[in-house]
Amino acid sequence: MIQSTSHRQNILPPAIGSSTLATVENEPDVFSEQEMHILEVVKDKYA
Amino acid sequence: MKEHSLEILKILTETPGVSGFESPIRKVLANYLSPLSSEIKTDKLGSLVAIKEGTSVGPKIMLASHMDEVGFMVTQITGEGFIKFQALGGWWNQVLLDQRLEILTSGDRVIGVIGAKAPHILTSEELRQPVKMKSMFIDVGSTSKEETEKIGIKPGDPVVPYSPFMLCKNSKTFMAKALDDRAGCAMLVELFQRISRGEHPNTVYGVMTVQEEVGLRGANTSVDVVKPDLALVVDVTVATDTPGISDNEAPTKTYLGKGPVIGFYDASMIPHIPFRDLVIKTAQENNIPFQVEVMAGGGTDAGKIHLFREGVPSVVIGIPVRYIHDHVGLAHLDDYQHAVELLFALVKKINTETLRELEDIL
Ligand SMILES: [Zn+2]
Repeated sequence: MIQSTSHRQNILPPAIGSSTLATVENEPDVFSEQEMHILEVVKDKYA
Repeated sequence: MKEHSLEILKILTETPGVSGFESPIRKVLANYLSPLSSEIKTDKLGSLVAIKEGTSVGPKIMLASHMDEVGFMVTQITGEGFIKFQALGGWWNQVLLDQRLEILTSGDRVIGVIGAKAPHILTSEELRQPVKMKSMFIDVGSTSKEETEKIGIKPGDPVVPYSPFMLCKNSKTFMAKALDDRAGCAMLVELFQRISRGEHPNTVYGVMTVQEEVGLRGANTSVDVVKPDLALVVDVTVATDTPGISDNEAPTKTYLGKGPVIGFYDASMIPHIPFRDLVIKTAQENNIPFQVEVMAGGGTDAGKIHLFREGVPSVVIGIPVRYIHDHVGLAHLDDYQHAVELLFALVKKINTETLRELEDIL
């Protein structure tokens, strides 16, 4: 997000609030073996 | 899943890439996205475009996050070996003094600190005044100009905050530099990891833009590569749940841990209302918590993207981060993972019929 001091104006908050919290349990693992290998390479390079 | 998210966030936030000097982070992102994309390319300024075709060529959905981070550039080495700098992106001078920075020379990465006068020698007048950035300098420990030059530091070298990634004691909140907008880049990488295993009724263009923090410049050029039907801009926003922020300063409070944030207004865009409402409906249908935001003093890449050609219906989705544009930002893992959920649900849902409905505004 860029910081901007232009176009400032007063505006009322919208009427919609946040909904209730959901959970993110039972998610599958998102990295394949190949992807983990890339992670290792990247880590070495920028460690 | 948590460990994987933390690992990717650590790698992406610790890799340097200030505005205009994005090469290191671009390589890391390309490494992640290449095996997950049908095609990967860049525009001529360096924004990365990863294409993942689904079961239909259209609609073309541009998902954009910016890869650059706020930082600095060396402008001058003083006669005594101190380093003067130019800010790249929006910094408040009060967060700079006594912070450690890394100068990326063509050889080594050199750690320095922004020097500050000891209070003992400040006048009572100086004690009351914030220090101007113009009078600040980076100290790498040199005792002469020759010594600083010998280290390899030159005008034009990019400078990043030195700020290792860290998980807080609650095991949910994490601290890092560059969460603006590596958190968004991480979300897009995780989204690609998910869609690479299934079907989606559209074509996804994951775009990591350059030079957002200096004026949404990469968005301006990369949108022409994609020519999108719809755009979801994934960027962080200011968490306003810390002490001393009034309702006037933040008419819509955003809290760590209360869900991704859907932008209702910022200085660069008012979202496309039917598309905004589709995002809200999708979150509700999937039991994904969300917050909404009005941010008068900020903008995102959507500010450029939605004005492309005859207009691109666009919405900003992000997560709240405490202390953005600082050495250390704080964000919450639940918000991050819920944002990935929401993006995934949208990409699974949007098809040619959805686009027709969104475009039918008469
Ligand atoms: Zn920013």
